[in-house]
Amino acid sequence: MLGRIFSTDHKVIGKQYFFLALFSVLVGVVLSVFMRLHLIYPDMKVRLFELLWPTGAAGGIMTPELYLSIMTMHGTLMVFFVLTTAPQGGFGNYFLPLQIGAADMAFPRLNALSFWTTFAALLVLLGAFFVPGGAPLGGWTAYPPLSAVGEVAGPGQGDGMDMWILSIALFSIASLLNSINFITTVLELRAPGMTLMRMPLTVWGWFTTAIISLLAFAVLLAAGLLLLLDRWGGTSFFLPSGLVLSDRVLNHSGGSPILWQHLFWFFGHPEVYIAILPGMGLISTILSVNSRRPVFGYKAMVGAMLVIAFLGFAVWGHHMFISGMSPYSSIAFSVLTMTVGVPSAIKTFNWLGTLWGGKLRLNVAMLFALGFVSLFVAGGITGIFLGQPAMDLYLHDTYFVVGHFHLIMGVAAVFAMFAGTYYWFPKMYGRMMNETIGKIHFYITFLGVYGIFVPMHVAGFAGNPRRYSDFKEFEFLADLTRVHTFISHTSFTVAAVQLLFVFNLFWSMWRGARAAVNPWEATTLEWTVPSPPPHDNFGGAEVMVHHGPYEYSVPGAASDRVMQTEEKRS
Amino acid sequence: MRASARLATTGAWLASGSILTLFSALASALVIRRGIGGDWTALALPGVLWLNTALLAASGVVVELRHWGWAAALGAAFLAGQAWAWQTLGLGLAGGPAAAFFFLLTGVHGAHVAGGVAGLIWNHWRATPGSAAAVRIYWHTLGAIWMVVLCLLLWAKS
Amino acid sequence: MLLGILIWALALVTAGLFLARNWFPPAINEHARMFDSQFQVTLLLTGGIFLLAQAALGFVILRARKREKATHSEGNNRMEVVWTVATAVLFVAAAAMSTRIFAGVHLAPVPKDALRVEALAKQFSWSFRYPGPDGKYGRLDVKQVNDASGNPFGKDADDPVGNDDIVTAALRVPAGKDVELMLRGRDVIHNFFVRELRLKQDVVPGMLIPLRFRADVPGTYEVACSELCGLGHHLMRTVLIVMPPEEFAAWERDALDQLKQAQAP
Repeated sequence: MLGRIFSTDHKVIGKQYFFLALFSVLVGVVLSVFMRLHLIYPDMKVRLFELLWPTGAAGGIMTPELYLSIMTMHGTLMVFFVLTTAPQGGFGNYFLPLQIGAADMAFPRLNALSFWTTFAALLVLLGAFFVPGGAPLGGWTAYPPLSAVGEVAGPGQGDGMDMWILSIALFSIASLLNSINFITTVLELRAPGMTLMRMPLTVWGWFTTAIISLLAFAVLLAAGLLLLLDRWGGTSFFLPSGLVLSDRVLNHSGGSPILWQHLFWFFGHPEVYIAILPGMGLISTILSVNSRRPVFGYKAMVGAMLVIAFLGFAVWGHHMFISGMSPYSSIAFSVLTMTVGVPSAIKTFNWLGTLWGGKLRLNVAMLFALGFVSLFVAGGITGIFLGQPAMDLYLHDTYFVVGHFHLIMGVAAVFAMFAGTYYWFPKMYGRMMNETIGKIHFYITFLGVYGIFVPMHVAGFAGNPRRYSDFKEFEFLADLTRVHTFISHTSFTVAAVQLLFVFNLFWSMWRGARAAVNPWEATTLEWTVPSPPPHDNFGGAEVMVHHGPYEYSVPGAASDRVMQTEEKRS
Repeated sequence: MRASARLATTGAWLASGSILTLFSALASALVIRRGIGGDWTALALPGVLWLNTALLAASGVVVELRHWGWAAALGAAFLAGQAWAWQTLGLGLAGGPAAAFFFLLTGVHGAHVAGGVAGLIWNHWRATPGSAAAVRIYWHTLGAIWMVVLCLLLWAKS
Repeated sequence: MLLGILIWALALVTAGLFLARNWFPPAINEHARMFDSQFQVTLLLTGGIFLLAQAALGFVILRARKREKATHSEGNNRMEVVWTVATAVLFVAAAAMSTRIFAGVHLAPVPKDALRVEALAKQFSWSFRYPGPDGKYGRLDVKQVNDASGNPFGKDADDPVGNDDIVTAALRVPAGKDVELMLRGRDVIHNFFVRELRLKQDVVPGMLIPLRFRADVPGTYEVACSELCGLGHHLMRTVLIVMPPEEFAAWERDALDQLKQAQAP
C-alpha cells in the first residue's frame, strides 16, 4: 500500500500532481468567489465567512486584512500550485516519457521526492490560515518592507508570512529537482529515431519550461533566504533606515526594497512562461490532431519557444517601471519587452495557419484549444499597453493589469489544462469524458471568462486600483459599481459551472464510455500503448521512431495520419 | 559510459547549473547592496579561511583518486574550519551588511558541502557508477564556487 | 458553427465596451493629453490586431464546416519572415513613440522656478510639506516622528529653518506652474496616483523620488494609493487641489500666518 502511495511510476506521480493541482484550483476559485462577493457587498453579513474566520470575519463581515490575506493565498495557490504544477508536474510527468518512447523518467525516485516535497509545501502554505494572525496579506509578490518587518505591519505578517516563505522555499526545491529530471529525460532517454526535431511540441514545451525553472527557482530561493534573514537575522538586505511602524523606529538600515523586486521578478517573469509554454505545446498538438494537418511551421514553433525562454529572462523590469528604478533601465526593459511579444505573435499566426485548410473535429478538447487561441490573443495583446512605461504611468497597479494577467494565465493557461484533460483522459483511464457535459462546460466558461476579465480592463482605464478590499472611499470608484457587480455575478456563474467539469471528471472514471486505444486518431507515441499504459509503458518492447509528430493528411499516405512508429516503405 | 552513469552525469551538471544560479543571485545581491546604503565595512576575514580552502582543494584532488572516505574527512574538516571562521569573525549576522553576506555565502555553501559530504560517505560504502559520477561533479562544483566566493569576499573588502 | 459566431460576437462586444465611453477622466495638463494621444494610437494598433485575429479565428472555424478533406502543409517560410518582421516593427515602434512621453516625466530637467513640495506616505495617510518663504526644508529626525501631535514628517524641533515649513493633509498647487513633488516613505512602499495627471509613482522608504508635473485646470482631484501597503490600503486617500495662482498665494499667506501664531510664545 505504501508502495502505491509513494510510487515511483511517473504515471502515478503525474496523477498525484494533477489532483494536487485540482484541489488547489478548487480552493483558489472558492477564495476568489469570496473576494468578489465581498467587493460588491462589503457590508453584507455572510455566516460562512464567520464560520471559517471567526476573527477575520467577526459578525460575518470580512475585514480588510482578511480580504487581503485571502487575495494573497489565492494568488500564491494559483500561480504555484496550479499553473506551475498541473501542466508540468501533472501532464508532463505522465506523458513526457510516453511521448519520447521511454519506460519512465530518468530519476524515478527523485520524481517521487519532488512530488512529496510539493505536497509538503502545499500543507505548509495552507497552514498559514491556521497560525496566529492568519495568512499573510502582502500579495503573492510579498514586497518588503511590508513582508519583512513582521506583525507590526499588519496581521498575518508574522507567523503567516514565515509559513509562506517556507512553503515557497520547499516548492522551489521541488521544482528544481523536477527540472533536473525532465531535462535529463529529454536529453538521454529518447527512443531511437526520436530526434529533437521529431519531438512533439508538448515535449518541447516541457523541456523549455524545465530549463527556465532550473534557473528561475534558484533565484527565488535566494530571494526568500534574504527575506527570512531580514525578518529573523537582524540583517538589512531590503530594509532601509528610518522605518517607523506603530510609533517604533526600527533599527534596520542600508537595504533596498527595490532589490527584492529585482530578485523576485527575475524569477517572476520567467515564471509566467513556465505557466504557459507547456500549454502552448499542447494547444499546437490538439489543433493539429483535430484539423488533420501538421502544425504550421514546426521549426518556427520550436524556435519561438526557445526565444521566449531566453528573452523571458531579460524583461523582468517591466514589472518595475514605476518602482523608482532608473528611467534608463525602464526604457531598456521596454524595448526588450516588446521584442519578447514577437515570438508569441508568431505562435498565434502559426496556430491560425494550422487551422487554415483543416478539417476540424470539434470535440471538447478542440473547443478549449480554439478558446485558448482567442483568449491568448485577448490577454496577450494588452501587453502592448503595459510594455510601454508611459502607459504604465497610469495603468500600473490598476484592474487593467489584473484583467491582463488573468486572461493570459488564469484563463488561457487553464483552458490548455482543460484541453489536456479532455484530450488525455481516455489514455489515462481507458474511458471517454462525457462530450455533452463537456460542451456545456466549455461554452459557459468561455463566455463567462470574457465577461469577467474584459470589463476589468475598462475599470483599469478608469483608474481603479487593484488590491483594494472595498471601493467605498473614493468618489471615482462609485462610477464603477455596475462594472464590478457584473464581474462578480459572472464569476459566481463560471465558478459554479466548474462543478460540471469536476463531476464529469470523476463520473467518467467509472462510468465513461470505453475508449479506443487512439480515439483522436493522433500520431504520437502515447497513442500506441494500451489505456492506461502498463507500468513500463511499452511492455519492454524497443520503440523505433520513423516519423515526425504531426504527419496528418500526407499526400499519398494510406490514411490521413502516419503514426510516428510507422515503418517507412522503401 | 554506462547508462546510469550518463544519466547521473547529466543530472549532476544540471544541478550544478542551478546551484551556480543560486550563488549568482546571492553574489549580485552582494554587489548591489555594497554599492547602496553607504554602510559597507571592510571585513577582517579570519585567517583560517585559507586553511579551509586548502582542505577543500585537497579533498577535490582526493575525489579524483576515488578515495571517498578521505575526501569526506577532508570535507568535514573544511566544515569544522568554516565553523571556526564563524566564531572568530567577531561580528554577528546583524553586524552590518558585509558580515551578513559573509555568513550568508559561507552558510549556504557550507550547507551544500554538508550534503556533499553525505554523498562522499555514501560512495565510501557503496559507490555505483552513477553515484560516483554525480558526487564527483557536485563536489568539484562546490569547490569552484568556494573559490569564487572567496574572491568575492576579498574583492568586497577593497 | 456556434463557436465561430461566438468568437466574433465576443470580439465585437469587447471592442464595443472599450469604445462605449471615455473611461478616463479629463486630462488636466499637456502630459495627460500626450498620454491620451499615445493611448489612442496603442488602442488602435492593439484593437486592430485583436479584431483581425479573432475574425481570422472565427472565419477559419466557420469555413471548415464545408471542408471534406484537410490540405497538407509544409509551412511557409516567407510568410513566417513577413509576419515576424511586421510584428517586430509595429511593437517596437509603439514602444519608441511612447518613450518620449516617459522621458518627459522622468528625464527632462526641472525648471528652476518649479514649486517644491514633499509628500510623505505612511500607513495609511498622506502628508505634504512646503519649504516656506526661505525656500529651505527644516531637518528631519526620525526619532521625533509623532503623528498624534501633527508631526508626521518628524521635523526636528531644534532646527529653526523648519519653522516656516507648512505641513498639510492635502496637496495644494497653483494652476499652470511646474511642481517638483519629492516622495518620501517611512514604513512600507506606497504609490502616489492622480488620474487626471495620468501619473503615478511608487513611494519607497529609504529613497527620495521626484515626480514632476504641471496641472493646468483648477479643481479637486482624488489621490489614490496604488501599491499594496497593508490593511488600510483602500482608505489611503487625499486630494490634489489645483488653485488659480492668486488663490494659492492667498492660501499660502494664511497658512504661514497661522504657523506664526501657533509658534508665538
